[in-house]
Amino acid sequence: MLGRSGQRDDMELVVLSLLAEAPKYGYAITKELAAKSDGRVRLTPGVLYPLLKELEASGLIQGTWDEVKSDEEQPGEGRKRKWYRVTAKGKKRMAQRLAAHRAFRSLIDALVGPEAGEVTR
Amino acid sequence: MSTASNTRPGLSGGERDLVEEMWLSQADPVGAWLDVLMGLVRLGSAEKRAIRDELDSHLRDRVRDLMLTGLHEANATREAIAELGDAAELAARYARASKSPARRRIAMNLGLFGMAGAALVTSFVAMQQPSGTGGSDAGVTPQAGMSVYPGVPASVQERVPVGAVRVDGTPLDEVLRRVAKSVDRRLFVDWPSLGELGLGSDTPISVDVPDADLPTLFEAIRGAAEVDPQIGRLEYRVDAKELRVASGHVFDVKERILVTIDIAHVLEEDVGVDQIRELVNSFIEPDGWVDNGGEIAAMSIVGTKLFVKAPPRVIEGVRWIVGQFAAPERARMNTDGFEERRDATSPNASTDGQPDALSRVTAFLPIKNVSHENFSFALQRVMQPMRESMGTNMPGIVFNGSSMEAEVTGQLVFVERVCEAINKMDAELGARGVEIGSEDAAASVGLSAATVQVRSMPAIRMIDIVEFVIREDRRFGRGPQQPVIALASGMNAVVFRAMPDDIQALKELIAALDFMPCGVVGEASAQIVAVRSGDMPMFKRLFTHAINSKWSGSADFPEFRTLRFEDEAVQVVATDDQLLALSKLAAAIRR
Repeated sequence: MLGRSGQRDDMELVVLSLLAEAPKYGYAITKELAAKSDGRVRLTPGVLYPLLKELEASGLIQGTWDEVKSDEEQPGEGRKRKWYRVTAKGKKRMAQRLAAHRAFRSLIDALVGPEAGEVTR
Repeated sequence: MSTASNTRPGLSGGERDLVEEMWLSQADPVGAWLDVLMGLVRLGSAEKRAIRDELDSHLRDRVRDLMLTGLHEANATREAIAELGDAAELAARYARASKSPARRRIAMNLGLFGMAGAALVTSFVAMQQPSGTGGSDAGVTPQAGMSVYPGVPASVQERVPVGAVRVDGTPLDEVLRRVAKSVDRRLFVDWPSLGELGLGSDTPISVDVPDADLPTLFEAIRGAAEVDPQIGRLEYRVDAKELRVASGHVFDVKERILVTIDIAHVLEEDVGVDQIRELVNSFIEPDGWVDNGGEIAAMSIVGTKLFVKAPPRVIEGVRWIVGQFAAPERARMNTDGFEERRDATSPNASTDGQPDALSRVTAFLPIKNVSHENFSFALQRVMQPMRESMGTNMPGIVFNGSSMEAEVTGQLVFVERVCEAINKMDAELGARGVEIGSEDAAASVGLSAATVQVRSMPAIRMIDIVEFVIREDRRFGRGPQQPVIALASGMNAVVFRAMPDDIQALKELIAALDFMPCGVVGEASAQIVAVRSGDMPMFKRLFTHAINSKWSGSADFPEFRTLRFEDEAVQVVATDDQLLALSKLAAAIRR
């Protein structure tokens, strides 16, 4: 599970990557992450929402509110949902994190060799 | 998976169960749990409301999904809330998330603003204030009672003619060189900043403009360069000698100014400070605000003043937002520039249609001789004694650079006094500039006259420093031959008349002082500046009198922490830019 200290940069990269595909709201992020990782990776909401707030405060993502209402509800009575999208600054940060991640992975590969069964071209 | 019994810290197991049962027994357990969380979150009311709305939406989505897996509603609710973890820990995470590096920066700036604010009287606004019904440039037709923010162009540049330009796949570097040559300006290109836009010296540019001026040509170059507007914008600035090209961000950072905007009338409308911040942060270039993680704009509200440090176009946007809360109708009282802002709450408001001494008025004063770069600075000096005597009655003053008008708002009796002082200041500064700026007048007494543009500071500040040097430095002539320096009319420049040798020395000194960098932050390290021993007393006095106070007054430069004057060297902790500036200054005062 994501969320332990030391994995913050990875969480940031994961969230920015998911939002770069399309704007999403918090719950959709948790569901998509779980689905994409076959349930192996879960971002707990208690970690996700403060992280979203932090990313928004840093200008990496931008949130906009939408109203969700059922058929019975009148306009203004529905609950609010916050959608997030990646900003230009966020895209730049994502590229940096990705480059750092790849560099680190290359370093590990160079030190311990590629994973068994992995073909090196 | 954790259980709901973890949602209250510092409680025994039995107490936790009791608390859990309390909120689960509520008609709306999600709402009850959110109430508990909100009690623990230490943030502003607007932020708390946003957090509550977001988590409420999450919990209800999650409960619905869990119920679809077969869980009973109570268990689904228990599970969904448990997934959020400990309420106190969640509250603490939100508090930490709100203290991003950007927030810490603004906290630091606030301290500086506080100091500057005590002395700062008023502000400058660059562009024309939109009228009550605004323009329709945004494609929106103004309706009654509706005001449309017309937006402000990223920069307004002089239409310097270039002639026909036709290039096809020519490297950007060469295109810019050709442009600079055709307008007879020295070219400075900030390639690192253009690199951030994905542009390099070899980026091929194809444009065909038959009869171009600089704005048209650069628009064509932008189109050819295909820079993603989300990433940034290629910008330029031109003056009499130089053509500078960089990313818009670089100019934004350099051109930031600190202003105050009176928001007393907004607060009177029961609009909260948080709401003002939210409005501005959300609608006026959101990515630029320090609050949102940006770098070009910061604001702080102290009392009834909104302090904003930002590029002029952003400030105009803020002013427009603030202006939306003004009374919709302001009756013009007479034709000499005074206008009454009706104030029903004032016990002294006149009832016979004429303003009495304490009713609020707005006066519009034409400014003839002081450029807007100099206005705030000159006003600080002139108004400081008045501010001390008037206290909270001091009128608010805003300078509109496009119409060259000062707008003074406050109680009539105080507005009149302030207007008188501003008029006097404008007349005196103008008279001095005109008199000594005349080359004929200078030549008639065997002197030369020169005009030097100032870029890094208000010209009136430069005069302060140079007059200090003239007073202190025996190198300059005495009596009628002593250099005289004054403000150039209508531009940020100084004019002086002096002996030809003195003219050259003063030009070098002004160039060195003007080079003092602002708006660029770098790593400071221990540095040594070589200064000849004979020059050291002057360098020391100049440094203390002018340079350190300038840098320490800037939010971008920390005051020199370590400074030691020795016989032929100054030890200082400085950035590379500061070091270069100090070295230039040492050379300029060399005898």
